[in-house]
Amino acid sequence: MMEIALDYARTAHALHTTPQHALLPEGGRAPGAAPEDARCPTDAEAAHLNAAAELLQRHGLSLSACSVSRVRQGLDVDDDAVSYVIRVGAGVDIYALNEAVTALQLVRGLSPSAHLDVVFQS
Amino acid sequence: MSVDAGAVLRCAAVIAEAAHGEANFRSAISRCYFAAFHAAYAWHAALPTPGYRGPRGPREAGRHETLVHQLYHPGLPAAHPSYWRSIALARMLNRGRQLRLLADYRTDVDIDRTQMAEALVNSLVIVRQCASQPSQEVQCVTL
Repeated sequence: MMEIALDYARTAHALHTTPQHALLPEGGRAPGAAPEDARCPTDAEAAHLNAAAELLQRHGLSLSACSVSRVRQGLDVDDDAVSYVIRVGAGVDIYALNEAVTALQLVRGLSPSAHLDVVFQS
Repeated sequence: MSVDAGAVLRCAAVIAEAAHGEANFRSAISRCYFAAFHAAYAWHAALPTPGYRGPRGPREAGRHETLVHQLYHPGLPAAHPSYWRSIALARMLNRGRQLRLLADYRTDVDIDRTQMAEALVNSLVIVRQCASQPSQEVQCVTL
């Protein structure tokens, strides 16, 4: 597991996230802090992270305030499946975020899958 | 079923509460993952249309990977509320699967209490979501 060095802030927000809400017109895009992993995200990985960052921003949160980990999914060394685990802290409705981010991914032409995705955790 | 996902999750919570070492952390992670898996499996099985299994079937990919794939690729239209729920469950179940693989197979990797807590919360949310809005119930509402 490769940790990306970002500040970890515990936040408590009531989120009202729905796929429809996520599809609202953008009010300015803030991609969040650039990950400082030894391995730079690929374009596709960055695009998924940007979708997550935008969702967080719409709810008054920031990706740079979260702990983000780039996780290789499989046990095999040659398994290139990756997910970004975004820890938003206690008190945030992680299910709502995990449901809402899909619409933002799809509207950007991204297909979340076991091969590449983001996941919000507390 | 003689035991449900909630009972398995409660078992995981008991292990976690008494956990005082890495072996216990690993055990709780594994147990709570299976609670989430069974909840998600039952939820998916009750959908009016199953998700796409992918090029590799359960015999090759395994039931766990196959279920994650099916949840990620719902056989429902996007207008159906379970479409969005399915993908959310997919990414959360997949996260639980990752932690469970670490806990059960990677004895060379440290597992701590924080990871155990993360796994428990993740599984709890999955089990609650599957119980709070069963796919059959959604089907009835939309018909």
